[in-house]
Amino acid sequence: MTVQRSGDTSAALSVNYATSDGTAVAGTDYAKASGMLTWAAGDGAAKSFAVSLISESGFSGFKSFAVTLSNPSTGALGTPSSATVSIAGAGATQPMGQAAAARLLMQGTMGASLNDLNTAAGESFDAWFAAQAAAPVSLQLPQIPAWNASETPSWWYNAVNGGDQLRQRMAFALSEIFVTSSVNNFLYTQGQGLAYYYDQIAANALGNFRTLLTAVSTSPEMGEYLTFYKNDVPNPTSGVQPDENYAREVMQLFTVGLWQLNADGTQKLDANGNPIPTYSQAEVTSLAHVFTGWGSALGSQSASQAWQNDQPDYLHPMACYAAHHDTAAKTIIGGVVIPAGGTCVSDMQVALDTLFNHPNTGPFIVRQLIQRLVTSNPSPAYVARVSAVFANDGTGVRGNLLAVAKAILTDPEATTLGTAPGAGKLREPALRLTALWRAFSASQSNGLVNDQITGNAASDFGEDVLQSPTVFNFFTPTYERAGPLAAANLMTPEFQITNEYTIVLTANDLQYAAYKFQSAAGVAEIGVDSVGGQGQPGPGDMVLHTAAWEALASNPANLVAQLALVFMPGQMSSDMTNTLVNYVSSIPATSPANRVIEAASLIVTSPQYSVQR
Amino acid sequence: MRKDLSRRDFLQMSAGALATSSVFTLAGTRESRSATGPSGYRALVCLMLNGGNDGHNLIVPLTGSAYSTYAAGRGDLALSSSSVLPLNGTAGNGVTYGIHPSCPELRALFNSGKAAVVANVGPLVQPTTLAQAKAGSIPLPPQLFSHYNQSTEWQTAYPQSLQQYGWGGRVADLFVSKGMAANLSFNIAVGGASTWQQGQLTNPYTLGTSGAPSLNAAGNSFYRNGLRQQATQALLTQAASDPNLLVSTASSIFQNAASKVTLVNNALSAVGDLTTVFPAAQSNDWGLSQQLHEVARVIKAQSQIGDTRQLFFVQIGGFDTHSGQLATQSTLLGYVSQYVNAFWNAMGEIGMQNNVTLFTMSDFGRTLTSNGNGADHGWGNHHLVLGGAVVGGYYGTMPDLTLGGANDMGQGRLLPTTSADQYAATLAAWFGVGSADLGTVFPNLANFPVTNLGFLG
Repeated sequence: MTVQRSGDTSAALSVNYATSDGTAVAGTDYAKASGMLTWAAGDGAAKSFAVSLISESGFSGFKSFAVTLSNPSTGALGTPSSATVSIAGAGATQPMGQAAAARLLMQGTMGASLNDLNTAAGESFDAWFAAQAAAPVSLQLPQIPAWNASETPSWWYNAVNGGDQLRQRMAFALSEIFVTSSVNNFLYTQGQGLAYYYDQIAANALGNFRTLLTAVSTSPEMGEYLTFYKNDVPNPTSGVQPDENYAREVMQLFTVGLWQLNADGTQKLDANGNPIPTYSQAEVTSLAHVFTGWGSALGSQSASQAWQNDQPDYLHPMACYAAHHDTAAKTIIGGVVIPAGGTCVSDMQVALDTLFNHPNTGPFIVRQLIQRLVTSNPSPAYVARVSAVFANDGTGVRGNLLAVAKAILTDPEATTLGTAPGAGKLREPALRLTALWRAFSASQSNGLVNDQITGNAASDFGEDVLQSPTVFNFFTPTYERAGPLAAANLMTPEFQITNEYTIVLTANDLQYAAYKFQSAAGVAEIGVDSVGGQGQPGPGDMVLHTAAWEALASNPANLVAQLALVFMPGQMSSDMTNTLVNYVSSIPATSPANRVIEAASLIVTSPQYSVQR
Repeated sequence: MRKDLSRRDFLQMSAGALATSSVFTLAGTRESRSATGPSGYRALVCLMLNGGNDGHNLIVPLTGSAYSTYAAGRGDLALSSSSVLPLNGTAGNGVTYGIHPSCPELRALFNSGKAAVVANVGPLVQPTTLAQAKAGSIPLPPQLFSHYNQSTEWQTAYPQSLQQYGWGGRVADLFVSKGMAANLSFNIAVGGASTWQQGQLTNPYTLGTSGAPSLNAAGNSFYRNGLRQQATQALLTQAASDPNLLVSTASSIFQNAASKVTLVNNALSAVGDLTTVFPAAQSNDWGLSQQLHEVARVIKAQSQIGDTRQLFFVQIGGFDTHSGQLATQSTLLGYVSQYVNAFWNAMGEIGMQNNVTLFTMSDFGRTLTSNGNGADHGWGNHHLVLGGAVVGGYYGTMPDLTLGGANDMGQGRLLPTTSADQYAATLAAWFGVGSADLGTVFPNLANFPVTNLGFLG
């Protein structure tokens, strides 16, 4: 590190320097350093000191620490007076390797395939994220033939087959924040509309959060779901007031949340130690007036006709109807005044800009994204690091979701195996199924993905895409399960849908899914060879393909190790490994496909695999 | 009957802030029970109306000026007085009320004295005047008018705690702390997870609507001469002692499922189904009929299961009627009325009507004012309690429905006049929580002059 002296150099000068931990820790990643630099009177030369790094293996991405100057004997510190030192690990500039790739695919995709794993292992993080961002967006709407068809088969299809895996994973996470649902009196027949809605999320999932906010807020599905479609001006005669539903939830759930937050996601507290509300009922009521005047896309109708439509055109953004927009001035959150005379569009723009730029929005949203992708209980420092990227992606842009995804997934808390008792998160059941299908390139002979299991997901798993029972998603970010988890103050959102009923049915479904497979020899079956299969899979059955795995099966230890890498990298205990190797060894080597399937099905139904850490 | 009525009237007055020391005497006498409480079987069934049922259109004033006030406040949401089904008797304010037109079964139950209306209930920390509520000069439940928070506050009956432990869960915690044990579970969820049943120490047991499922691989020695079953068991056992708490907890849920599945399914099959017919499922009824049917089956199997205290949770959603309220609420309340009536008949079939009390909860009441064709989030709300032990009639204080009137926080969001904690404590006291423990389960109860609303005999 070099320190430059400038200005008047006539006096003698000293200044202190010291390192401080960031994601890099003194003693583990670098040698703690501190000291004093001195200049004699008249000495204007640059001075240097060294900080030595500690050699280590097994970390990927970047870790960083800070070096800070302090206490100048004369004059003042210039700019910069501190610097951040980044240490490049695996994947930072060089190929990330198998272990880091397996973690990245576990957290940032719908599941790892052998091909994906090999490709990613040979790439740096930068290259992988660039390729994912560039991959064409997999859309649902083009797959849906009829207006009332369900959107769920197209979701499963894209989850399993989409080349834009990071986008699909981010979109799924975002769909659990920006909730709309077919559990609704109007939307339950609107498969195309829900597909259109999900496509908006997917298209913006690696784009900008502000753009996504407008797409959601003008989508006819959200207009219908949170009931501001045809929200009208106040009527003093009838006493009718604008609907407050969207005004409340766009703040409570989609941007700022209920409580004022620090940048690290922890709650701000008042003098009495109580959390501080972010807004009041008055601001909800006022914001409700902002979201007036939105009706169906016009199509070929006149405005006066189109406003009358009971339901919107579900495949185009809502349109602004000036006569039904309240043009009075509104005072919204933070005392921001929207002046009188605006339109639905201009008022919404000010409101969404205000919410987007609110200091809560970064930590509120990124904490939930971390919970969906990586861990249920991120450290405040982790949230703060990602929040900083949400605030500024390094080029001055706020809300860059690709940068946020990269910050989440390449943070040391994501790239390092969690070993604390509360580390990690429960995997969502739907993602356990997509991971199984992706690991074995599963497909249906009819070209769709509508296996019977996907139809049972809502009841058996307790979740299915765009079928949340309420706008509060299948589970809440702050749920704590009683017992050891709550005693350890652990938030465990996915445990809210995990009970004696769903845990058993999910395991049974995953086992059954694994037992529909086709070997390299071309034999497709349901069930187990030596005890009698249950017949041939039909065209609507997702069939696993074991061919790429069978070469490993001659050596049970190698097979189990590779399955562990793909499904639960670094997590499989020696006990579990031994149990699996012994079991696989009991199956004749002449049945390699059965060895593969038996081991895989035991893994995906196990409690160990149900947790990602 | 006369005696019941006079006591009810007395307690109504006391709920209207005319408490006297004799109220305490009466309540204290009734509640002097141990934690195990009365002998014999007792069950509470919580029927959650998710989204915020508009109670001001469930129970509607019918007498002259009271109806006019109602109609003026509700605008296009007002039900016509001729369509509302009149209920026997009058509330404490002398007004005759009726029930929503789609609830003839509930009307009959009320008129037979088996159902109570508890008026204008909602989360409160302490008795609160309108001026205090508007000024925020005393502690109020946080985040009023938010679904998630007010629904949670109803279920915790401890609104200012911001905790997510429900009072059903705390009752189970209390029983466990006193050394009681359940063969199956004190809390049984049939309709899915709820805050109400979430304890600090205990979790509910979750059933499907057709018994309990069993783990194929673990229960089946068919596969590979039992080796697969052994491997599955080995992984579960290893997971139970895994250093990661999430893994060990997942294992414990598997193990609990395995240890209970035989008990439940054997008990259900031993006693057989009920002859009472529960209505067929409808596309938007959340399976409530099947949920109540399953609860009835478990209660029928009570002697087999052997537990004397059970708390059940069932739910139906769709009540967040910001739009299309008149049609939607009519459909949903129709389901509730028919299905609850079937449940009541099922309890009659097995002789359990006096042992089982069903009560409603919901996120909040709604604004009296309309937003065009629906209503927004409110606060105070009317609720129903049903059972053989219920002393039928009206409880609490009927609110003034005048916009800008004595109860109006604005837009007809009504300040509750009875707290959800008082409502819950009355239910818990009947269930068997002794007077010495009520304050532990309901920390705010001591703030209120009346700790038992008297609707359970």
